[in-house]
Amino acid sequence: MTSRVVVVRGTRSAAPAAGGCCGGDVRPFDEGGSHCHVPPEDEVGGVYRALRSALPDHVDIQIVSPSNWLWLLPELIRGGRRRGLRGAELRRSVRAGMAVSSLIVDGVVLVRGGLPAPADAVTLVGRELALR
Amino acid sequence: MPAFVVGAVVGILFFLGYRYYSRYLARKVYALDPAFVTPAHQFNDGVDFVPTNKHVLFGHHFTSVAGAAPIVGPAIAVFWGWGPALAWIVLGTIFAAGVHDFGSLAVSVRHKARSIGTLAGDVINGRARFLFLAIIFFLLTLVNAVFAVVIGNLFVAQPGAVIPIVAEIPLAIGIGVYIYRTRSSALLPSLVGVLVLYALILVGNAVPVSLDGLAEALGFEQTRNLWVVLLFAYTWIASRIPVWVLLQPRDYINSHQLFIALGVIALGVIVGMSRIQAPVVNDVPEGAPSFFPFLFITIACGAISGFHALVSSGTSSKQLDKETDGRYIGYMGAVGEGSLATGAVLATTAGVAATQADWEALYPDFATASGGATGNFVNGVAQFANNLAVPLDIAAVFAAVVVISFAATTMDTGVRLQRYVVQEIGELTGIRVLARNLTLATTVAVVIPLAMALLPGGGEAGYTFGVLWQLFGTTNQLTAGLALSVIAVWVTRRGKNPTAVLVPLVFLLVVTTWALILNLRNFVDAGQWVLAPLDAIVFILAVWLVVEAALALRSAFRERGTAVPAEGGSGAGEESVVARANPDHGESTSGSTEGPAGRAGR
Repeated sequence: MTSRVVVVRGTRSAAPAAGGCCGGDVRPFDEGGSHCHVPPEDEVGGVYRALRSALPDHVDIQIVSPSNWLWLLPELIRGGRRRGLRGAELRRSVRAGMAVSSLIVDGVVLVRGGLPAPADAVTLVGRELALR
Repeated sequence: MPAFVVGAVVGILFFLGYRYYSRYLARKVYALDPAFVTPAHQFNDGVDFVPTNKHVLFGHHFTSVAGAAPIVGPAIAVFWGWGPALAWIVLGTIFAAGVHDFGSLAVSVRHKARSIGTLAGDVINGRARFLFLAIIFFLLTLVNAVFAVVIGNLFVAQPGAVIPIVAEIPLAIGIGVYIYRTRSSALLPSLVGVLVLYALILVGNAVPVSLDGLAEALGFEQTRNLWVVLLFAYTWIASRIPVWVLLQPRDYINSHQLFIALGVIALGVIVGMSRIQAPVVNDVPEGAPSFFPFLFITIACGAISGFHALVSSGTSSKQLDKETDGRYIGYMGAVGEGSLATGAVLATTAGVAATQADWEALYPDFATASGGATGNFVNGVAQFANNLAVPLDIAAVFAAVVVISFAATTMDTGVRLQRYVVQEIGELTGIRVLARNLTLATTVAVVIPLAMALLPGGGEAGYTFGVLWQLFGTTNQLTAGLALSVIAVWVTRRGKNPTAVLVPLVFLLVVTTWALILNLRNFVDAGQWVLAPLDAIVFILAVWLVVEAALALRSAFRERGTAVPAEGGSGAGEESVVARANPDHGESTSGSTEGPAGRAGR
């Protein structure tokens, strides 16, 4: 089975959505404009780039906004259940994974509430994947 | 006619549209290639450019495009009967919005994921970028003006919504700060936020807040106008607060509300077995605007909305994992918005009235219909919620809270975006103080729509709102027209058949210019000296767009007759980064500006 690494964005880099039609996340100016409004850089970018260059192509890496619970919640529940978690344990695991700036491998929450340095993230993920 | 049956038929048509028409677009018109290296891979920086699972991306895309606008337009447009309104929503979604949203994504992906404003300059010509800026300026002005009026009207009609909506601001800030400090999950606090918000509905319903006395004391002609002033004062402050403090946590709450509202409409229709009480085609009174062309500009979002091109080319195209995912994200996003618009039609034709006579009393003329449209939607959804055993008065406040939450967030973002546009215009015109002074730029972004919301009309509130809304719809359609022009030129240059793009483009340009001419005559006759010049300016922009689109298409057809050019207008055959990255696919892009590749190395 292909492994999946999920990096949950922090509060600052998650792009706003749900503003609705005529108010959602829009970027009228991307290049060349004097007011190029890109989200500020945070630790997610560095972690993602380090993981992508270190891990083989068959390992899927996703960056998810913490507001995207519609995708994140089932992903965490599936991952937890695959590991045999049930009841309170599963609930704790899911809650940890939903936290901002989390690092998750196949539903296993390695880090929550703050991403490690890129090199540490690669080590952590590599160690977890080696167990499979 | 049972509302459930109508909803089911629309659902089937949307399914068929997605299944067959979007497949045709993907294969024959946009010629998607699953092996194409998307900008998300090429410029992968983990910040803007990230290859993203299509279901993850759809969640973000859909919540970015679905909101209050596809509710208000259909709620007004059922004035002409539910048949024409629903027909335009269905046909518009399948043959116009789907083509537009999907196409914006496809063309952006083939041009380094640039936004449609930049692409207009690259693919058409340099003038088109200024045209885009001008259209967007008026669009944002009208968005902010109409939504201020919508909220003001709802606060007057549903004073029980005031306390929950006002309390939502500190609630959202509290959630934002809590998540930031504890770095915990956004789901639980935002769910608690929704529960607190809905608990406050009980408080609001028990203690309705009316500003009638204050408005009278301050000399306001209508209480709504006082609300409008307060709303713009709020957005002046809110648009300067960091996104994560207020806007983002409010988005979390709104994303829950979107699904709750859709669920209430669907379940309420099924459980209550509500029947549509409005006529299929309404015999409108003499002097009322005719359904052609006005229906097609009254329903913009929900049938086709130019704003979606900004979302498709602004954020979604930078995260597309495979080019072929664009079909699901772009086309299904349009279908999702069409579904919300269908829900609005059902609420205002089946939920809001028990008999046809009741319905006709709500839609006797265009002024009453447009002024009361959002209130009718609120009452219709309240009836659906009542079918699910929620008390009617509480349900009405609930529905008002949902609509106001969306509209207020749209205003927050709209004023913020308008500030960027004002700064950009200041830069282009050399007015440096406008470009650099945040306070001045924000004030300009607030004062112009405030004037738009307050000045015209002078009495007949409903009429004023209806025509303001139509001007908004027209400008939104022009934005869509500009995006479709870019898509049509790109498709033609690639040697593909552009008919699927040209048909909605020509239709949109005809209905918008026609409606602008008719409205201009009406405004001049009625002495509406605020609306008439605005209409005239938008008309000039529309004519400009027609000329630019025609010239660009003529040039594209000529190029097609000679040789296959480099994609994009200004590339002059220069091999682009994308072309070099895709030697097997023969695709190239153009553009004199530096690509985002530099950011990948940050």
